[in-house]
Amino acid sequence: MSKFFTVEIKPIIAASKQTVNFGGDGLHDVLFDWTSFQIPKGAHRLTSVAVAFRGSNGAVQTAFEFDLHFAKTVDGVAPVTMGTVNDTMTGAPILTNHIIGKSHFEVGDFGNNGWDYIGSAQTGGGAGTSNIPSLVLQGEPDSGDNVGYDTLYIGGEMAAYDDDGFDFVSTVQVATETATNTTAVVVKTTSALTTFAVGDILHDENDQVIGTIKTITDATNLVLEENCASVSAVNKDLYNINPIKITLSFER
Amino acid sequence: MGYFSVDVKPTITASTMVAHTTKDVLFDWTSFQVPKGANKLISVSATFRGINGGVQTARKFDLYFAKSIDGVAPVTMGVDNATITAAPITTNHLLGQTHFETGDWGNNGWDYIGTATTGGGAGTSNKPDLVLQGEPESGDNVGYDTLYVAGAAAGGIDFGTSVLTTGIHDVSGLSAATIASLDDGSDGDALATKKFAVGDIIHATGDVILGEILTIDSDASLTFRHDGLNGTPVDLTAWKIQNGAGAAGDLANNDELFNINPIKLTLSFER
Repeated sequence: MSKFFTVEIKPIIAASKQTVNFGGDGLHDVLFDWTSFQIPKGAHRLTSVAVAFRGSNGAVQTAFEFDLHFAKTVDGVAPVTMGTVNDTMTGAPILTNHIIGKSHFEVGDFGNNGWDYIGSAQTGGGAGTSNIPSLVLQGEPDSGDNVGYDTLYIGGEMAAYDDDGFDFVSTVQVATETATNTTAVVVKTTSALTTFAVGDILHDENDQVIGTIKTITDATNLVLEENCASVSAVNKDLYNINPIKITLSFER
Repeated sequence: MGYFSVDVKPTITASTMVAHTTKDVLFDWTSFQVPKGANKLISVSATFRGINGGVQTARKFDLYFAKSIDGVAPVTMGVDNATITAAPITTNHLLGQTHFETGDWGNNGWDYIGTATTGGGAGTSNKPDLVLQGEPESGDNVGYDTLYVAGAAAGGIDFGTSVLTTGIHDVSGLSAATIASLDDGSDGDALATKKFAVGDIIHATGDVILGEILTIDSDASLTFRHDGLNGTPVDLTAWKIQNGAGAAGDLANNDELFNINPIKLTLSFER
């Protein structure tokens, strides 16, 4: 058995929280709230974190500072909320009992970030405040969803910026009101090809569930795996509710 | 080879909680247990309670590690929130230290707490690579050794709460283990929900023991355990006289309340 393993996490960011950019209020914002993940039972060393971001409305996701926080249950109780997503970090004092470490990302950790439609970052150079993780993460015994696993939590923090920050705002808009008797979704304004991917779970700007993308036919036509879950009006913006994917690298 | 982590919650005397000046004792030697033998410290994370209901500002601080010598624990670092007066014999006990820069706090965007993790490794930002080994037979149980950690503040760390009593509380006369009508010292909201957590051990100015928070009833009211669990007083009568010699721990007007464990350390080890 390899002494290494990875865990992939796709936190949920509600569509209605993506309609304005993060950090644009000059305050530190919750990027995403505690999201649970499973690791093999016991203590493991986090050696690296890679993060892939969807772009800003069909363009590159600009590099910004952010932090990832790690937590565990205490006596079987999950950490309380970090606060409202895309708002200040109002996590209650009891979180100090749950938090077991963090990873900080500098702008430089995005490397050249030369993507046209996405963004990517990787810990860490180790220079200045660029962080190379070496955290041993260990959950509570019996916290896992299954025998042999423990549950841990990850939450995201956006650094404070004035009028700037991660931007998942979408203007992929409903062109023809969606209908619950068809899998077809017609969009306009911004190309679906540069914004979405097969497997994305789409919600509209009011958090109405649209469905999971089966096929992206072209810039203006999507096919869902099942009939549209909701009727969404013309001009409603559509969002992928998992715009961030985190890959945690562990050594056992 | 494998890994393990150890959580440590040092005690800081309530009467010494407010702003630390330069090179003060942050907390005195606190023992912890590690599996017997030599283990490598590879990372340290620290969580801090905030300042008066706000974020704990990022500050430099140091953690020191020590062991017993011939079964004798290290002597005191000195008085909390005063200069580090540790006696010369401390050099015999010291095993190493870890330094935190303000940058090790990352963005630290919390509203009510603060967090830091070692370390970039650049400049004076420390990435621990410290093998810690206690004395044989020093552990509390077979298979474990005892080590010690202590903290030193470079200045500015502050655990003031601005949760204060209003009026005199004759604890012996209370009908419940509840301290209510708390304010911020100026008739403002005490905002206890933003400063304390259930399970916190609360002492008042002058180190009067109030005990473990059972419930935070409101921003102005705390109720304390007295059910005998976790070493708490076994009933209301015992709660009233827990400050010793049958005396009630009476509270004066404007006594500030403190959580005596405002820091949690998570030590990451490789073995």
